[in-house]
Amino acid sequence: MTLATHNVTLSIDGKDIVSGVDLVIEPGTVTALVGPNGAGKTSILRMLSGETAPSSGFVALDDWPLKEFSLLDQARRRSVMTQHNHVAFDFSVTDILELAWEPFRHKAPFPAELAQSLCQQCDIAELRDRVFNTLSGGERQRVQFARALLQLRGPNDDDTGRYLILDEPTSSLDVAHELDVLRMTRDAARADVGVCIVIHDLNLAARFCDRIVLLEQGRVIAGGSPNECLTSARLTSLYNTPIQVEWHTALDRMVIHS
Amino acid sequence: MADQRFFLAFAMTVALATGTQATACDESVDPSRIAVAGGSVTEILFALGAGSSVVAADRTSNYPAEALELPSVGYVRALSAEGVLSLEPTLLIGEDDMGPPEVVAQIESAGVPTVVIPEVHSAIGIIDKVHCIGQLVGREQAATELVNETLLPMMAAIERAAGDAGGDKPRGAVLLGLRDGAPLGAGLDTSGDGLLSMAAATNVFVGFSGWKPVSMEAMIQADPDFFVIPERGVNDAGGLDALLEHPALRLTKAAKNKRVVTMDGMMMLGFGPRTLGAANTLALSLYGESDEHASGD
Amino acid sequence: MPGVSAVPGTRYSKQWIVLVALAATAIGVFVAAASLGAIAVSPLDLLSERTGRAMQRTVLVEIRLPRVLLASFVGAALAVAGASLQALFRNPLADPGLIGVSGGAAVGAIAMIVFGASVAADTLMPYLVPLSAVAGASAVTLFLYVFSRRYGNFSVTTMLLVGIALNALAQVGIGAFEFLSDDTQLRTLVFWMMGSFGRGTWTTVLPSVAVISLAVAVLLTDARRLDILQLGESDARNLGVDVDALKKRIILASAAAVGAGVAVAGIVVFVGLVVPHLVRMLGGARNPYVLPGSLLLGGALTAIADLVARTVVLPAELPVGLVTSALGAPFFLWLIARTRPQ
Repeated sequence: MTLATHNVTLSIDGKDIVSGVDLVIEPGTVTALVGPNGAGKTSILRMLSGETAPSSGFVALDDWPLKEFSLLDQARRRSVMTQHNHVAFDFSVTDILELAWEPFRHKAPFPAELAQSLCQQCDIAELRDRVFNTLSGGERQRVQFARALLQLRGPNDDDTGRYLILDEPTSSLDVAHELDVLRMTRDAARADVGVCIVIHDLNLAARFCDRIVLLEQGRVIAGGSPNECLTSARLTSLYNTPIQVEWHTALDRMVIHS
Repeated sequence: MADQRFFLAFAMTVALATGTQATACDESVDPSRIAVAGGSVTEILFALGAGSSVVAADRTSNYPAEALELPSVGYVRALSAEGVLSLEPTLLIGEDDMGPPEVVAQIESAGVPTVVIPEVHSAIGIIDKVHCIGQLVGREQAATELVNETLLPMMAAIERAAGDAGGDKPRGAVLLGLRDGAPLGAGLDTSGDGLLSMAAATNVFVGFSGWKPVSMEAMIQADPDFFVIPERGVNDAGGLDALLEHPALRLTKAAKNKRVVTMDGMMMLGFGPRTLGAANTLALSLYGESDEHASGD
Repeated sequence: MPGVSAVPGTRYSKQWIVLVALAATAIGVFVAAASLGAIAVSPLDLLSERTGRAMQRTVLVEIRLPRVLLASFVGAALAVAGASLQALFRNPLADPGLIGVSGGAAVGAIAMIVFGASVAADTLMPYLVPLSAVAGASAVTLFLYVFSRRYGNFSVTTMLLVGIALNALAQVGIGAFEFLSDDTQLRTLVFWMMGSFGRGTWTTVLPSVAVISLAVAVLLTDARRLDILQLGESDARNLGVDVDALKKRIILASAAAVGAGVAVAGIVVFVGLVVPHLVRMLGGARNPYVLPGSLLLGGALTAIADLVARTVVLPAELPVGLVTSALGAPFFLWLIARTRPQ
């Protein structure tokens, strides 16, 4: 059971945005896509979520071509948090959370207690009656994150994997909430969810992710554990700016300076 | 003179012939409470002495003054079925643009006989209307009197004036004020065209039918000798002088010579008996003072 | 919204209360509108022993009932189509009249009146005219959608500007047909521009009511998907919604609802704008509540507007569009003032 891309290429107007990428998201792990702007990270997420079809190669969900799943079945197995953060009408936070349950509406009633506990974990319990559009960017992001987590908790058959796709989920968050979200992401992986995340902060990527995939101009240039993958030489060349990677003994983890 | 007598006889024959042929006119109806949609019908009913039977009239019924006192059933083309029926009419008489058709059908289905008076834009058309309405409301005698004593003599007077003047007929244009800057001119098959031919004048706009906006160049090319414009059109344009200064009109013979006839719109174009009077007035003003003008050409 | 509880159950029960109240209002308005008019006759007279005179019966059955029915259905259609288009475009100012959809329907209907007479039998016209109106409305809606996709999502201002342009184009179309034809039916152009339910007879009302019922049913079944669409197209897709199919259905069904109404009643503006907003104010923005709420309130308000139009200047009547505009235009201004700062 994996969510995987097999040699996918995405061409737009004759230009390869993504070239020959093989990527495997395994349940129980967090995989980070790392690389400079324009490296094709979001495009790969879109192909993983089925929003964009690859120009060649294919995406497989639990060893079966993704495009052969109905949209509803896809929604029952994986949730996606995009960077879209606007709702035209006065939907409350509770309204937004309820939408996460739409794929499971006919299978089970809305899990009010689970939703409440997710809200507390995401620190949005106080916001539940507020209109989504009146929230700050960070608050909205936490609501969307809670929605993505809730969508993963629907009733499914036992033999299906679950996947969480996150596109810069912490871009508007303060430090404390950023750590909260990444810890909850780790918790999700611990509950056997396969996570793929795009994240810019290299330290956080190193600290919270099991696997790092380094991307440059649509190609994978390195993949593996943070220790293997994130080297000073590689990062300096990838970002074209001096980057130092050290082991911080007091913290007992790697630290990346730029 | 022989010509003239022949013409009168012909007119009467046609009038009687068409009057009896039209099935609508000889329908047997109860004319005790009449709702009217069309100013000319109202005018004729009052002229025939049936005004007291009229219980409602539309907004185009502005003559005689008593008609203005009647309950208004709205615009002739936008009647209200229930509104008309609420006045409990025994008969609905309308001009041929009475509508909408669905509403007229509903009024009929509620048991009110509906008669549409055919509209022909000529003196004979007017005489026809008078006979038709006279027959409907049981006042044939009054209708015949109106035709013989007022309408036919007017036709004769026009004929006489035009005949006496001889030569080419004056060329005129009937305009409905300035719509969006361009004057709306009467082409073929319009009441305006009918008015001109009734007044023994020629319509300059024979290149199109219906009421159409006339461009500046088309107006200059047509170069009418005179204009006929409803009073309201003149008022809307800010008076006669302002109207004649309008670029679309300014360069015509009619504007240069200030030959403009204005009258009440319904009188001019409603094609009731008054319209024959209007044609008579128009003819007299054209031919009565046309000597100098004709020699000027 | 401080008064609203966080527990879903109570929010829904509030929405249910509003819907039940609206349903009661709609039924009350229907009965009142069927009972009032220039002629004193009400449906109750038919039930009682004294059935009244035949003429009164005809007035009630042949004139007033089809008219009230038409007004209610067209109002419901416009309100549901307005709410659906607002959800589709994710823009609170979408109204079938303001953004040109009704204008497109009018052009379609007039084109069929002018050209159809020469190609089709008169007996087919009651069906061809609404069909052509639906085609015109679909064309405009589709154009709006393609345009909005191509140039990013519509801001509130862009949508209004595009609406002005499309309505101007519709005016050109109507003006051109007016010039081309001296058809007596076209002389009643004011009918198309201001709207009237005075043409409601059973033969014209029933086909429209059938089309409207079908189209509104389609829109109602999509209410939940329209909610999900509010998260954005990608997010909706990721929640299992076939966004392209949804858009096609909404465009076609709302165009059908509007077109079937315009073909019989002309352009009635502001109903599609005002009603969904009032419904949202009463009970929130979720479409499974807003769409049925709009259906009920749209039917009721339009029946009231028609009642006013046909009774204030007895025995004549006003164009109903005059009444809805008189109510809707100030509301619209208020809405713009409220929406702009965001």
